[in-house]
Amino acid sequence: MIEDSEIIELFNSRSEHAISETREKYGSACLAISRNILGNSLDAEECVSDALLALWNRIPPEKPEPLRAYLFRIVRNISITKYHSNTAGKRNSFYDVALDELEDCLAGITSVEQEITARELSTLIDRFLETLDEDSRMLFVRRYWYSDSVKDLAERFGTSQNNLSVRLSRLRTKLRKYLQKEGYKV
Amino acid sequence: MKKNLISDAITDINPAYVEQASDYQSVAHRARRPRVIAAVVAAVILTVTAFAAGGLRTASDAANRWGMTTLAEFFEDGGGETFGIAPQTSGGYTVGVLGIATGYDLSEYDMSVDVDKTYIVTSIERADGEALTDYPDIWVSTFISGYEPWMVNNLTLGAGEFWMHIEDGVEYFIVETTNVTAFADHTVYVAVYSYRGENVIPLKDEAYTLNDDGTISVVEGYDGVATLFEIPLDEALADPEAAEALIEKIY
Repeated sequence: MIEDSEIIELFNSRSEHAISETREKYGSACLAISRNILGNSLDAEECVSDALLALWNRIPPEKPEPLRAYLFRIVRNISITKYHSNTAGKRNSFYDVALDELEDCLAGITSVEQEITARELSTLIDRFLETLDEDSRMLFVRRYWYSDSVKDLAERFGTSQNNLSVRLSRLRTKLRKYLQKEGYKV
Repeated sequence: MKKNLISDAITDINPAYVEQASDYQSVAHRARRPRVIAAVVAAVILTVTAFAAGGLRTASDAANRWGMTTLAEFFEDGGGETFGIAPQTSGGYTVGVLGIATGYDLSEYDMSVDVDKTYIVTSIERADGEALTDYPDIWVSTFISGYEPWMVNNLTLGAGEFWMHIEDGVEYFIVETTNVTAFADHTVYVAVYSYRGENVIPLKDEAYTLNDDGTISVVEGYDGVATLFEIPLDEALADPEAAEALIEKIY
């Protein structure tokens, strides 16, 4: 399989193979991320194509390292934007369900002085993730970044769906307690 | 908090975590931590053995005795502590509850653990201080407030394995219960009692009785061991639907 450095070089040299090689290496993973957010393959395909075009427009001068996480983030952002522009109100994707869980967990969080910002929350979540064992950290990221379904997570982590749901619930409780310990009101 | 803010925050977490999670499979975790039950299928009653002075006094020791390493690790980490549950003396024996671990607790160590199981470690010794030399006819079960003990108990809830051994004159009894956590919004009891003949299920109102307010208590004057402990379970584990289904099966 082609190395990421070779793919970057194709982008830098404006080769027509840059996008096709990227799609071959990461296309299915990108589709999975987008499908989890949008709930349908057609829209997901469109978003992945848009993401690859965005990659073409950014490299160069960008030199993403690792390429995969960089691309996945673009896919996620484009997919979320499309999700919001689609019909409102329908709870039809794993992304929405996962986001609901976190919203319940973080409802009303404020710092002592003011409303928390997205950047601040992101940093806090990073620090929280550092406190977890590897399995728990990966579980959190797969559920809330990749929006994996409980069924898929149960398979990935080799356990029952029931067990996994409880595990996620306890992670969210830990997150709340961590934020409280850091001085945030939750 | 607005969903968009949460979504943006999640999007911007450390890309190294996103990268690592991309093809993460939790195989190493399960390989590192053996299952609680290992190869034990049926209860094994050991002959009495002599050990060095000190013997076992902790739930983790009892679990290690049977190679239940995940259970032992949980107790060693301070989980399932029962300092607030005082030992009780009844019918010539002193009974203690040394540790309680739900499947949910243990799944933090090994995700393959069955979350519907709960493990209770008890100690049983003669109140006069004499060493036990054989297993007394004493059994450990769980009862649920609101339900007759002779109807809803460890056996009717699905039973499970049990492990008993005597060390330094004290019996250690580990019982695996099933489906108890579904009733976590009730009072859950551990009962340690004498049984007659082959029947380990207590007879109605013989050793224990269900009171009008749904609590369960020991029948005064029972000729034998009859101890009752309320055990703390996380109410969040309760599953009223599952509990109702279990009761329907029993009744």
